[in-house]
Amino acid sequence: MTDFEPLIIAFACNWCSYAASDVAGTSRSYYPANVRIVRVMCSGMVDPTYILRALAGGADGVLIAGCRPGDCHYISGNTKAEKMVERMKILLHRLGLENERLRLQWISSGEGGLFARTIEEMVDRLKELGPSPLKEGKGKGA
Amino acid sequence: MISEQLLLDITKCSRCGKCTAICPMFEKTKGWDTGVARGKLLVSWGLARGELEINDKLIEALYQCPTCMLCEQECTAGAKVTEIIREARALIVERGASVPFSHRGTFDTVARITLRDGLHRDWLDLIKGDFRENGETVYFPGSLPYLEPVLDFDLGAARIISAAVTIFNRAGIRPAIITQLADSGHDAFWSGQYQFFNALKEKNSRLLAGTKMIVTTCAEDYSILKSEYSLEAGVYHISQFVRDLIREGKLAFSEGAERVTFHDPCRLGRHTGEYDAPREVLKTFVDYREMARYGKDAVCCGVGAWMNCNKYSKQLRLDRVKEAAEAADTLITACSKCLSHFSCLMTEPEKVEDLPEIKIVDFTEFVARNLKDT
Ligand code: SF4
Ligand code: SF4
Ligand code: FES
Repeated sequence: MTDFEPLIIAFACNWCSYAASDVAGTSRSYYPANVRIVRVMCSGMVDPTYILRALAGGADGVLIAGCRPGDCHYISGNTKAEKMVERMKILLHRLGLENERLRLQWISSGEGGLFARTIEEMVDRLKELGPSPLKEGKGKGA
Repeated sequence: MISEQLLLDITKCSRCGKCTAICPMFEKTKGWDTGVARGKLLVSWGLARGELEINDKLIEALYQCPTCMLCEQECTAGAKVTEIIREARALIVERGASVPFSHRGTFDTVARITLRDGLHRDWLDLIKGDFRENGETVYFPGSLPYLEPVLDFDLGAARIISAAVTIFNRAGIRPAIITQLADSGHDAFWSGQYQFFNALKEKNSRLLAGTKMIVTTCAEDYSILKSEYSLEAGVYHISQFVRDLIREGKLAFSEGAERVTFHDPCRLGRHTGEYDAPREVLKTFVDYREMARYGKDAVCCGVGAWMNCNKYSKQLRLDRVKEAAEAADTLITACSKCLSHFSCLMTEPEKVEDLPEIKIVDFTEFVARNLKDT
């Protein structure tokens, strides 16, 4: 499956990770073009349904990126996100999806390199896992 | 499409106002007539005749109703209120509007994922007890394993599923648990998404072909499998299954002094007519008490098919647990959804004023917990 290019949807916190993705861009660090970034105001506003819809809609992986512990601009949004991601990993496993397709990463605003590395790692792992079983044409149904 | 027959039904409504006195939701919203059956019927009429456009108010009118059937059984004109509302919802869906699900539609998406083939669903490790993965006697836990991780509290999926298996085992049966089964489609059906419902039904019917008996622990699943599927197998709610086992002398209980009451899920009671089985079971081993409103008069937990959780349905739920607390120490419900809604209310005692002290326990779990060791 060498020509498989995974699609990643990243929900990135406005105050940190989204800025980091910008840093990665302006400093011209290389990262694969497999990611579509959705800017959110805080990782804590990412709802289970965003993750599921991204996957059901054909994404191979979902990244949730937020401020480091203690740095959330809304105090506890990132701890809320952490708990939610833990529960969603259980759900994905029960539903029959590899839960490594979902990743949580703390990336503060200057860490453009970490952003790029995170995407690279995810792309590598997703290439090993192969296309999401929910992708169009795999299995049938809605 | 709202059939001619149902349209005729709407014209039979004399606007007598009985439903306005009965509807528990209307009692809370204290709003316009669109908040109650007689208004919802007119809205459905207008929609079906092309006289009304779809907008947020119309969607709210047709979806802010748990289709509890309380008004329908008393309607002086005999209007099939819930069926009309459901058909009107189907018109809304047909015309491209999306269903205003609670939890931002997470459970709808989960149900869509269960429709996909080729996923190796993996939750059998939750189960303690002896089961097989195929066979003629099926236990259908429905969406229980998938509800729990989305909800932010312990719903007890592992305990409830294991409890059901324990009951089967006591009766000398190794039930089949088929993880490839899709969501029952209850919510798809009642939200008016008929095409989606039919796809779920078709997939499940294929997987259930050749089975003899299907037992569910959720009243919503029971009502839909029983009324909207055409399965060769007999469909039973766990309360009926347990009642029969007790009558056959296959189960024995340790008696307790606990005061226990039962909440009739709309789907088990008014929708499918089973009021006696859970009571007959509970009365064999507890101090059974009835709430002020019970049986066919029982009030809904406030939410149907994950569609209308809001401040009004929360008040309904609060009223209901208070009513239960007046009668007993433990409230038993026989529906995974009622259990979710009630438990959700109880998880935030600091946010709810005068929340009574009461234990909310699932019927299946309660029964298994009180089985006498033999
Ligand atoms: S009870 Fe029936 S007839 Fe009376 S107003 Fe309500 S829907 Fe109409
Ligand atoms: S079905 Fe229940 S909630 Fe809906 S209008 Fe009738 S009584 Fe009210
Ligand atoms: S503000 Fe960045 S995670 Fe909350």
